[in-house]
Amino acid sequence: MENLLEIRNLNKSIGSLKLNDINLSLEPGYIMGLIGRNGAGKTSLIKTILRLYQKDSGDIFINGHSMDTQEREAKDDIGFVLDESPFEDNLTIETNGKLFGSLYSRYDHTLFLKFCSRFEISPRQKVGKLSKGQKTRFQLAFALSHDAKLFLMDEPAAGLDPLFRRELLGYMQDIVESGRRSILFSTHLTSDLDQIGDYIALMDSGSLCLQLDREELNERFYIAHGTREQIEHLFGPNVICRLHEAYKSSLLIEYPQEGQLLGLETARPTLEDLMYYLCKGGFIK
Amino acid sequence: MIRIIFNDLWLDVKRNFLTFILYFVVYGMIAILGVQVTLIQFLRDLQSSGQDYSAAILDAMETSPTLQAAAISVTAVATILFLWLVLRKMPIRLARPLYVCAAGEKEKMHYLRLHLIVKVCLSLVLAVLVQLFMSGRFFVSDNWMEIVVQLGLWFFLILALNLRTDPGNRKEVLEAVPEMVTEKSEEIVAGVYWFALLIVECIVFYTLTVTEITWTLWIFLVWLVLLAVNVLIAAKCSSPILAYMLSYEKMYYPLPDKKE
Repeated sequence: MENLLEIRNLNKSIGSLKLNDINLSLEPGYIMGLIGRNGAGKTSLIKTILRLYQKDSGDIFINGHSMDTQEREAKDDIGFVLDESPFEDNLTIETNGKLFGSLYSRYDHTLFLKFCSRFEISPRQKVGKLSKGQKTRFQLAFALSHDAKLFLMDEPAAGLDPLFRRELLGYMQDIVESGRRSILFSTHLTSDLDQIGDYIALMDSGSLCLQLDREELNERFYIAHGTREQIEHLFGPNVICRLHEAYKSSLLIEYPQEGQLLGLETARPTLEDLMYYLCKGGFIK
Repeated sequence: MIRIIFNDLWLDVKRNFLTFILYFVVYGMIAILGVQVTLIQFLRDLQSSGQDYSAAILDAMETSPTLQAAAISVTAVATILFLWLVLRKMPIRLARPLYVCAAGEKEKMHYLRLHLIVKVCLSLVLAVLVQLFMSGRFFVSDNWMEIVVQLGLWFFLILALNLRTDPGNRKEVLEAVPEMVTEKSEEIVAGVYWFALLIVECIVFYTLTVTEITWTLWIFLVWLVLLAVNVLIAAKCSSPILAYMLSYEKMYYPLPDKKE
């Protein structure tokens, strides 16, 4: 099956940040989370995929369509939920839907109104008067109404109340359930990815440091806790980072060999743990 | 797309409605003052004894083609100024959703060209209506050659006034990171040099009319050459100015220290 998103050797300089040789692919039916600290390049990458920023080099394909030569066809398959809503603030939700939905080949206005009703947003309300959560819902309703295949979401849960965040994660799982659609979403809230992410891509200073699926994450990395001496004496090229804190010592290890962690308390790291240890180990800033 | 354009224009009008009313009032005052000042030059010769000032003006305006031409010329200057002020508030812009939604370069360029054409047509109608309101006439003469040239000049003038693009977040970036801002050279050419050339051409044209020089075919041919030059300048400037707006990055510079 063709990848819904294919990025090859993407480079882009934006001020002091440089997206550096990004290679990424996403098959239909999966959710990929883009994580990284603030300023890592997550939003810039999403905006470059959407051609809001003109790439310096590389290729971007959406469902087989090149963003360079088939921009309209490529964007016809993209649904977006951006942090800054690109829609007209002075127009109502319904008018925005009608006017800009007409640009899509598969837009269904009746379906859009149904989604607005389901997401509890009034079509008569002006977009400029919506709260952050309502704008997210509006963009999601719009994306679902034109049968988007690839959903690009830039920190969709940031600034939302916990109740709606949970609902949003549910909607995202519903979207990919059919196996025809995929989601790439950026977040610095790793707990969201822990729940729904099939793939994780870790960005730092414009580069993709790590790309793995959930299975690999579970099998590859371990955190081991022990005494200072135990941690100090555990050798191997697969030891990524050792941490000595006031009341405990620990280390992050990848693909531990049999018996290597004998006598130590081990645990699978969360994404937050992974980022923390990678940062402490100097792999990311 | 046409719905989006009209909606955009309507929003501009709504946003600046009171300002436009003020501009119209100022335009009226300048036009009336201008006509009065112009007529004073001629009135001494035309006022019969015993005739009061306002009667003399009406008499002179009805009978003297020179005075009519002078009055139309003066109100034309005021109309150009009025249009310049109004159109500054209504730049050409690509609706922001079009940068993200399913529209390729061809569709976006089509939108921008359509936006420009609609604005030019509406501006021309506005210019004619305003001129008719103030001076009772738009065309300075019934001579077909003068009509063609006058229409051509007004068309290019309005086109030059409309080749003004949305500044985006240029102002904020100039304050924050001035070195990121690139100059829009074609817009400067259109907005300054070409506009100045058109003003000079208009001055020459209206002067010819007021001085009642008889138009010959040779004069018309010279004007056709000038109009052809304007066509070349329009062709050279329009596309690059519109194409500049295709880039979201150039219109809305990514400011540093914004959320990443």
